[in-house]
Amino acid sequence: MREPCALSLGDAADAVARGRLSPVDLLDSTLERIARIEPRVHAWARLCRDDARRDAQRLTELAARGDLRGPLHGIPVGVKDIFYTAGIETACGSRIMAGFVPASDATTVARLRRAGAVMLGKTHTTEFASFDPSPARNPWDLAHTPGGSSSGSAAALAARMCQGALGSQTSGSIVRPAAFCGVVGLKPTFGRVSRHGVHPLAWTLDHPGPMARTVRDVAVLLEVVAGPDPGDPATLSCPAPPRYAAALDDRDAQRESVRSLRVGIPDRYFFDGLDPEAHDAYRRAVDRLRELGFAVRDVRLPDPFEVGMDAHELIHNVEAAAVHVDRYRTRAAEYGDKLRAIIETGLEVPAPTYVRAQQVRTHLIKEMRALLEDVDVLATPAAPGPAPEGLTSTGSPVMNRPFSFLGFPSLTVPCGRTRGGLPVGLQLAGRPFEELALLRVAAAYEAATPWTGDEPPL
Amino acid sequence: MDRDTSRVVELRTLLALPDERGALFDDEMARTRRRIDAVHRAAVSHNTEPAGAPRLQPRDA
Repeated sequence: MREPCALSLGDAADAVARGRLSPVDLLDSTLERIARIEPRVHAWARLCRDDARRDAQRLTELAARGDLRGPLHGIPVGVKDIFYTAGIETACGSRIMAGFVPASDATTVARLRRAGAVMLGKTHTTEFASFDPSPARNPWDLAHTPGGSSSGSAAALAARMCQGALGSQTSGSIVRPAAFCGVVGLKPTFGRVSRHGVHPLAWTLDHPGPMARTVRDVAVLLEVVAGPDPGDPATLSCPAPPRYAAALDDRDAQRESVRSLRVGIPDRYFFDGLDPEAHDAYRRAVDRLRELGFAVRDVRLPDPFEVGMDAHELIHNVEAAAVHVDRYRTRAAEYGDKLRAIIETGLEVPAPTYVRAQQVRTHLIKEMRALLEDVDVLATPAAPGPAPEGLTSTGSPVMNRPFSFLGFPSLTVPCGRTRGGLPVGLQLAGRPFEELALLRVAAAYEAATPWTGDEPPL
Repeated sequence: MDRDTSRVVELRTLLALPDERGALFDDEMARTRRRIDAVHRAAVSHNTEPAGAPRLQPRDA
């Protein structure tokens, strides 16, 4: 067997369930890996070694009696440091929040624990999940950003320092870092996963979601964290989530999906300023989807698509200003320059303009729903290129912003590497609450390509 | 003091904001002005329901 920490979440969970691997041994392997790698990667804001050991011991005893808590029994996970964790500092990548210890877990964290996960620690985030970077580095090249804002979650997964993680996306903060680090990240439909207990950046744009090293692993995590939560009104009217992992395991259904799902290639926007190597990887990925049997066709984005991105930025800045204004009055100098500019400009956007931006949003949602009658999934590059060099920027969310604005689900699956060895991702997006279609296309692509599962040369 | 400056001063006084607006404010504000112009010019009906309306549930939901 491979070193336990290098197993996929699914393989590790299976080994635990069959009694071939204990949660304690899995944790020990992971902690040894962290001791070797973390001083270079800086993925973790806080490690909870003692709590994790205690939990792994308890879960090992339960497993020995055949009592498995759920699909994550004994699996070490990392949680972005904007998710509240009972009794564990949640500093949100900010000096302002240093020392804040929540009394209770975010709903998603509680659901991970209930499913048997071992909460290994809090992963680095950019300041308040915005754009001022964390110390995290890209495991594929330590001189490059891992992306953001879920920087540490993506870096920890790529570096085999956990098997699952939580991130959140307001513009591009799950899909972009996942793509930069060569892992899989899924931004669910708005309302699919509870925001309760996740520090807001912009309420109507924030999407918590799962990250892992394989498509199926992300499906397992999504199944655990998705579903209605009285703490988040946006989740209450949503359809019940299907059993994503079991659906992927159904080979007949998976084969049928390849015959029936239609993949759309947008006519513009996603190719402006695209890095040539990333563009080549994207073209090859689309060719591969076609070879696999998916019906691939060109689609024309609706006319107000670009102005929708202006509307996103206005809503983002206004809501961020509203989140922070009370603290900002007295502690402005403690904010990073990028978030500060967002708050300051958000304060100056006229209220009718904010409402106008929300009208543009309604309009574009309607137009994109119509477009997604002709195809089931859109395929685009996940980022304008590989992870940029340097640690002062986390890269651009331009490819991911549309789906955060719309609230439609999106994911990234690795689709190649540049000559410099940096990963690039294929972004798939689809209709609200049809995450399964994205997972099916991504799983078929992943199975037919060599990119998932490679380890960075640390 | 021109009208725009006066409005900003009023806003900052009302919200008790600090005088300093940060090193990146001017660049972000230039982008914000362009975005404001773009959304108001958008070919989107003013009768459109804005996103973000309440999501209400019956009492026993």
